Amino acid sequence: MMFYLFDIIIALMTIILACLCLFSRQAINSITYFIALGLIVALIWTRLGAYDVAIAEAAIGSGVTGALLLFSWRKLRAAKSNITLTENTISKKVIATAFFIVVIIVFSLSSILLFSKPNSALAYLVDSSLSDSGVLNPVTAVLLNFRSFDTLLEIGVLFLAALGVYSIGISLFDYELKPSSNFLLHSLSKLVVPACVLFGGYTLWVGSYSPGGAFQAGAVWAGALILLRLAHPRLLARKLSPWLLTIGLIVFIAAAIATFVINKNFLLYPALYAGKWILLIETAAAISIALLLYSLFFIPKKINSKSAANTITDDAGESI
Amino acid sequence: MIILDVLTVILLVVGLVFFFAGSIGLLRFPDLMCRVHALTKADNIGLACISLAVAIYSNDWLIGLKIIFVWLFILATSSLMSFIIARRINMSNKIISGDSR
Amino acid sequence: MIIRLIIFSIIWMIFAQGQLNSLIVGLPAIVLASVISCRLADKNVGSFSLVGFLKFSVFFVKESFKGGLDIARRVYSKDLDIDPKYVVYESTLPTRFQRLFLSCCISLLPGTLTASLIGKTVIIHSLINAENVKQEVAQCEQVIANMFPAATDGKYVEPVS
Repeated sequence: MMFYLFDIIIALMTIILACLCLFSRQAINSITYFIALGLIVALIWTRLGAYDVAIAEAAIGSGVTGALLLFSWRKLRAAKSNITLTENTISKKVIATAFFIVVIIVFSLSSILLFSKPNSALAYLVDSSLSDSGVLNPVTAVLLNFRSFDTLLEIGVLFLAALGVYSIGISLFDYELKPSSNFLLHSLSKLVVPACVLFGGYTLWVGSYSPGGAFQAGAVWAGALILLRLAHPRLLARKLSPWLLTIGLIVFIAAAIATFVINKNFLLYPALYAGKWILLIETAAAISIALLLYSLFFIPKKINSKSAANTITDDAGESI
Repeated sequence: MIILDVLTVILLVVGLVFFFAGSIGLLRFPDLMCRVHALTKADNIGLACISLAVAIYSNDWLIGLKIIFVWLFILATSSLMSFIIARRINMSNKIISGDSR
Repeated sequence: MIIRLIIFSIIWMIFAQGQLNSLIVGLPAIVLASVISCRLADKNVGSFSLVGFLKFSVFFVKESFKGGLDIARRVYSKDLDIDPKYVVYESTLPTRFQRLFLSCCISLLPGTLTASLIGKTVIIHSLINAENVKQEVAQCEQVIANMFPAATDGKYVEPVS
């Protein structure tokens, strides 16, 4: 029982945080609880041994999504829209329905867990074919080799999401920071952005034999890009090249066609070079994911290069 | 080696104590600026203790080196972040923010 | 630029545990990181002394540990015993990078937190002992100055007041 004390605590924390997130009065409180909830869920993934998912949950679920929510909240508040952000009421019917659904889910899950044998056949299959897959990390093997179609579709879905955001045409962050506010962000970016570029590359590389991979690397790079854009509005002002945005999808589809030509089967990598094919696809995918996540925040607009708001100065008035 | 394990546990507990102190400081201190004080200092020492504990536990100098890099990076970013937050808190105070307008 | 390339290569090699075939991803990452770092960086950072760095590390570890311990002591005792005040301090460090470095160190030293940095003026929020703050910060400044010996910042312009 003591051994599971930690697990019980974080399970309780998850439920409490979720309730707080749903039922708090102010939107900003909900957002904060949501970010905390993401981190606790990442802890749960770690406890379950799913380290890749834990990294992705912390980076994308808490980091990128949290930033997205905060930007949206500020933009809505600034626009003084009709949506009342200070009140967060849910009708009684919704609460009752949600409670009912949760009870059903918990009941069915627990009966499945209690009364059926765990199916270890899948894990055995993966482990026995691992040496043929070209990588040592079973998660990457499944994602990029055994079930590569699913990953191809996932990247397609991400691309569609970015298309949707672009077509609305409203950027979440469309005013320039006051010149003096840029100074500290500028200094922060000098430290963080190169480190994130390097570390994202490492995460991409290490996905072959350790927790990591394309999605995690893409999330790290997206964070670096967003910070760079906040600190240096001039630098990334031009439109994102559509080639870069879609390169993940293009490379993946090209790989599929190429493998069809070579092996008469889509995405059946040549046996000796499977690892290299996977690395190539992962790199393209990571670049795409980073740019797609970044594009959720910023719709590029032409910035007048001569305006005074674009010169970054620090508090003393010196220009950087 | 059992002495390394004992050291690891001690460092982990000490780190926990500091992190907990930071969180309690968040609740106890009266003013926003004081709370940033508590969080920055206590959490940094907590992180140092826990990083050291993990580095010792891993028994591998390469992993220990990696952890030192991570610790230095978090140190730099968190102290910069506390500066950014402290500055933001005082934005409305014209004298401090140096707004000449 | 070369220095950055070397430093980033070393960091990459440490992370990748010396595997040379990691360079297929590593080399572009290292080069890109160095280019970005150069593009973003300050115009002149000044020289760096290793001995000064070691002395600074010792000072820093000792003082930041005292800082954390101080907070823990206050938090776990019945009486909070704080006297928050703002202190204005004129720094004598030459480059802006060094003053920023000083501000970050001040935030980690016991009882002090930087609120604002305008030119050479640092505004510090102190939790206790407002009289000792200037001495402690001067001490910290001295250690930092020893780490970056004789750097000149010819481009410093007097702030318009």
